[in-house]
Amino acid sequence: MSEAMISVEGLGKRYLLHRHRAHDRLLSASMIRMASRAIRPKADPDADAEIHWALKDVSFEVNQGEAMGIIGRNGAGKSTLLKIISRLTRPTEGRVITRGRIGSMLEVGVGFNPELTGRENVMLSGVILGIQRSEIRKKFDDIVEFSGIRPFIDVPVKRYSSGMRIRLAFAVMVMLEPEILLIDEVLSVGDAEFKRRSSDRMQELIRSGRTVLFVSHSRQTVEQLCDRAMELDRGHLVRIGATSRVVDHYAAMSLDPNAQHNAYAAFEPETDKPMSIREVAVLTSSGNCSGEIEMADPLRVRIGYDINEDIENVHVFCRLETAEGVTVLASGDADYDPANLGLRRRGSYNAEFQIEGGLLEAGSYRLSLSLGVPYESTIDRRPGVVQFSIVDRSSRRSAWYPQTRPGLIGREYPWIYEGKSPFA
Amino acid sequence: MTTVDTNQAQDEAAPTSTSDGAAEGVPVIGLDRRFERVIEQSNDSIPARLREAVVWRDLLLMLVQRDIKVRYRQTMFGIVWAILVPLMSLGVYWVVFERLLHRAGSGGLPYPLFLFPAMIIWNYYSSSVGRAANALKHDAPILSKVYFPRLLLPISNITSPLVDFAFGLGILVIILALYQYAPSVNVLLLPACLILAIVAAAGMGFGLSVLNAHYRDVHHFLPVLLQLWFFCSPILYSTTDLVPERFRLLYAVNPMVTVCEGARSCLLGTEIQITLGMGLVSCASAVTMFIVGLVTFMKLEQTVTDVI
Repeated sequence: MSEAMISVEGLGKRYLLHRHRAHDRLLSASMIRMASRAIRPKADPDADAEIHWALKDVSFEVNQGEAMGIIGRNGAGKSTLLKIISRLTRPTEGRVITRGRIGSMLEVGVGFNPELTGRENVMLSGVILGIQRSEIRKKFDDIVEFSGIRPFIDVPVKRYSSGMRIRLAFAVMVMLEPEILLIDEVLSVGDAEFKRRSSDRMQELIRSGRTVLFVSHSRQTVEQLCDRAMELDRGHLVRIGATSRVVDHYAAMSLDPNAQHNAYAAFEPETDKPMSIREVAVLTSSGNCSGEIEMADPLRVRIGYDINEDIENVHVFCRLETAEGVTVLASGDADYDPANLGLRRRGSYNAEFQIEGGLLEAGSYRLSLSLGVPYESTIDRRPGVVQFSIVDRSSRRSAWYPQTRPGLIGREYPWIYEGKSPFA
Repeated sequence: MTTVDTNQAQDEAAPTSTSDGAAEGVPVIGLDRRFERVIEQSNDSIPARLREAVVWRDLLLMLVQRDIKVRYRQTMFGIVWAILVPLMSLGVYWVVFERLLHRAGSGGLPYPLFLFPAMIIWNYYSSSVGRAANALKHDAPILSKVYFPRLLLPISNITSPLVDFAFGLGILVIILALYQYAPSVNVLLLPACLILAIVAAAGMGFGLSVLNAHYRDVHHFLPVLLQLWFFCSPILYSTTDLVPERFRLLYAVNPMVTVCEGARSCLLGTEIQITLGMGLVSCASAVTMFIVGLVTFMKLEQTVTDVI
C-alpha cells in the first residue's frame, strides 16, 4: 500500500445541470419527478438534466513534505478537487485517501461575523478552521501581532476597513498547522508589506515539512512554492511533473488553447482602414520561425503592414508581454528616429527590429501590435497575436541550474570579489 | 477535522511524546495511521459522524456564543429584549383573552399565570425550529469553504434559545410573586418537559434545516406550520377544556401537548391534564421525530454544498 500523504484514485465528480433550474429546487417539482419516475420506471431519471463532469479520472499522489501546485483555466476543476479533499463535497466516483490532519485555506475570513469584535472573530474563525480554543488563546498575541491591528481588536469587525478585515482573517488562517494544507489562491491580500509577510509565512508553512496542495493562477507563485505541479483541463489531469515543465507548458497554452506556439500570424487585408497589419513573425537570427528562441540568441520581430492611403504622423508599435500579461518592452518605429513620423506612402512594407541575445529571461512571451497616431488614435490593433518561448540551453548557469529562474531579465552578471576570494 | 484529531491525540494518548507535542502546539508531522481517512461517494456511518460532532464541541460553544451575542448586540436595549418580548406578547394575550373575551385560565387561574408557562416553552420550541430550519442556509458561506460536522449548526440553533427560556423562567418567578402564588415540588419535573421539547425541536430542526437547503419550499411553509402547531398545542386553552376525550390519544401525537401541559402543571403545581398514555404517545412521537429528522439530515447533509 502506498504511503503517500494524499492518494487520489480515479476521482470523478459529476454535476447535473438541470435545464429548469428554478423549478428544480422546489419540493413540488421533485415530487412530480419522483411520481413520473414511478409511472414510467424505464425513463431516464435525469433525462432533463445535462451531465457535467467537473472532474474525471483524476489520479495522483502527493508525498509527505511535498508542495504540489495545481494550475488550469477557470472551470478546469481545481476548486472541485480541493473541495473533495477537504470533504466539502463527495466524489461521484473514485476515492481519496488522506493520511494526516487537513487544514483548508479556501477563502480568507471564513466565519467572520461583522457584529462581533476582532477578538471574538479570531476565536470563532479559528475554531471553525479547526484550531482548538486553547491553542488559539495561546497564539492570540501572535495572531494580533501578525495582523498589525492591535488597537482595533475589540472593535466590531463591521467598523474595519476591508483591508483590516482581510489581514486579521489571514492572520488567523496561517496559524493553522495541520500536516496537510489545502490552499486556494489566498496569498495575494493586503498591501505590499503585508503581502510580503503573508507570502513569507506561507513559504515557512510549506517548507516546514507539511504536505501542500496549492491552487493558483499565478505561475510565479507556483514556481516559487511548489516542487511539483499538475495541470487540469476541463476536469482531466493533463500534465503532472516538475513545476517548471508543467508551468511553462501551461503558460504557453494559456495564450491560445489551440496552438502551442504561434510565432507567425497573418491577417486578411483590410482596405477600409488607412493602414493595416498584414503579418507578424518572431524569428531567430537565422530566420527560423519555430517559436522557440535560444536565450543567448538575438530575437527578430518582423512586421509586415499595408498603407492603403498616404498618411502621416503615425507609427507602428509593438509590445512584448510575458504570458501573464506583464509588459516587458514597448517599441515603436519612430522611437529611434522621429523622422519616421513623417508622410508614409501607399504600399506594402516590412519592418524589423532585433532584441539582443541574453537579455530576456527564459519563459513564455507574446506580442501585441498596433498602428496609429501616438497618444491619439489606433488604426489597427492585434493584441497577443504571436506567442513564443525563450529557452535556456546555453547560459553558463544552465550547466548546473536546470530550472527556470523567475524574473524578466535573464542577463548573467559577473560577480567580482574585492581582495580575498573564498575559492581556493 | 483538525480539531477532531488534535482532540483525539490529546484525549487518547496523553503520556506519549507525540501528544505532548500536539498539546504544546508544535506540529507533529509525519505519517500517522490514526488520521488516515478515505473519501468516497458512500457516506460515513451515522455513529461515526455523531462521534465526530462530539469531538467538535468547541465549535458548538462558539456557535452558540455567536448566536447570542449577535442577536442582542447593536440593539438599544440589548439583552433586555429577551425579557421585553415575552412580556409584551403576554400583555397582548392578556388584553385579548382576559379583558376583551373575559376568559379565565382553566381551574380558575388568572389568565396570565395560566398562559405564561406554556407560552415560554412553546416560544423555545418555535424559535428553535425556526432558527434551526435556516441554519444551513444562513451559514452557507462557511459550509462551502470549510469542513466541520454540519450537524453542529442546527444543534447550536436549538441550544441558543435556551437562554431566552431561562429569562422566561425568571419573568415567571416575578409573575408568580405578583399573584402571590407558590409553585409546588412538581417544579422538579420541569427538566423532563424541557428535554421532551428539545428532542422534538431537534428532530424538526435537523430535518427542516437540510430540507430547506435542498428545497426552498420549506421557507414558505414553515411559518404556517408553526402557527398551526401553536393552535394545535394546549397553550391558549387547556386540553380538558377543548379536546374530546376519545381524541386525546391522537391529540398527544403532538409532543408539545405533553410539553405544554407538563410545563404548566410543573410550574404552577396544578393537576396534570393529560394521562400517562398520552404522555407516552408524546414521548414516542418526539423520539420518532428525532430519529427521522436525524436520519434525514445525515442522508441529505452530504450533498448540501452541491445545491446550496
